[in-house]
Amino acid sequence: MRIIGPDELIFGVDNIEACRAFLSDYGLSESAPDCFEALDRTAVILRDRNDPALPPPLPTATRLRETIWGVEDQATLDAIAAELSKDREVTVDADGRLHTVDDGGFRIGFQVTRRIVLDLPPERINSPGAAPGRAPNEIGANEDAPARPRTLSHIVFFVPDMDRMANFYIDRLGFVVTDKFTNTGPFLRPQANDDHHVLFMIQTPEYMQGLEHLAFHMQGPTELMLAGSRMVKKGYESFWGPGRHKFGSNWFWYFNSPLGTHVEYDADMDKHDGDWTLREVPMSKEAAQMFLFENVAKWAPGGPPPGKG
Amino acid sequence: MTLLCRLEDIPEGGARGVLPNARGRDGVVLLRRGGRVYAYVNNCPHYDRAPLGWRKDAFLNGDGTRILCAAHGALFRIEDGVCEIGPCLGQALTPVPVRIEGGAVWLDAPP
Repeated sequence: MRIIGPDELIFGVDNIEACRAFLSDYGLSESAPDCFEALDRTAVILRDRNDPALPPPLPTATRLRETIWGVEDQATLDAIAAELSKDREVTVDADGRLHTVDDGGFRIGFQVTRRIVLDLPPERINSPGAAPGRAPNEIGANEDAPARPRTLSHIVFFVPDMDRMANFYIDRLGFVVTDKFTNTGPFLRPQANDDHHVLFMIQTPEYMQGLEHLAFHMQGPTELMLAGSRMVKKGYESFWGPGRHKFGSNWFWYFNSPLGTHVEYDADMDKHDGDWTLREVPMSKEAAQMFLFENVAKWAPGGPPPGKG
Repeated sequence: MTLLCRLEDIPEGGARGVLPNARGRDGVVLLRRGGRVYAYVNNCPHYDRAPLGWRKDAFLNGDGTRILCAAHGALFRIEDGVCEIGPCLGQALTPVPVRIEGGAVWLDAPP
């Protein structure tokens, strides 16, 4: 199954103004009313929680109503429809998108991807012993640089039955396990995406079921730090980070959000192919991150302490 | 007693974070309803380091009837801090003793 990754996340919220402000400040662009896009057009979509067009909510606190997965082509859509129709209802909407429910009880959809192929510069660094990443006189620290999320990277669910949920994506949709935290959940990537993970899950009691976080890829660590710092400066609540994960290697910075889920910036995630052998370790603070920092107020070295000069 | 803020600094029906730590994170959430001020430690029972709000002084759901944890969407009753839905179901926010005196809100004891 040539599935690429999450294309759209659709939320039903009761505080749409706050959510609009958050997603704009986070760096997404409102391309259509309440459709907030990354540079490659992957998107978070806001709807009023009472919008009758929305799929029904889970009986928990999560505001996520549906995850739309992007696939390469119509043939893949047809194959998914044929496979999933064997044991569940699959509906097709006016736009040709499929809608159904996964084995964890989450509403999911599939569409020929809305994403465009990006051709953008990477973060360029100068590293002794290697060819310079930047030309002479090209400055690396630009406070005015735009910091725009490039693509919807991954989603993480709280799930009551990790194995049942994971096996659905593995056995029915062809996802591959890249790494695993024992008794927590597997990191999964679909066949048409070499990112370390687009989907991860954490085993929880039923009343917690929902979206734990969503993440967008940034250009690199510097852009992630710039974007996160700007969020802090605007008064947003940092939850975890900045830091760097071990599995996946991605830099991370998580924020609370009015969407009732954590929203992450990530950067520089590992790529994998079929030659990779999965690693498995117990979940722990040590396993979750290589290092962790906390944003503090700026400071500069100076002369004597105040009042002594 | 520690002065937290002037009563008028909390909008009626609204919320305000006070008692910032060295990192600038507010330690206590104040909520004003009628003549009363409710105060809770700014931490979801879910984790030991989980601030509730998503932005400075932003702690409430859409219609202002519940405290929202902006980590995973849990909703807490304002009058007693009890979680009604979400990852902390059945748990409660930690209340902070405060008193209103001379038009200001004071901390009665260290949170």
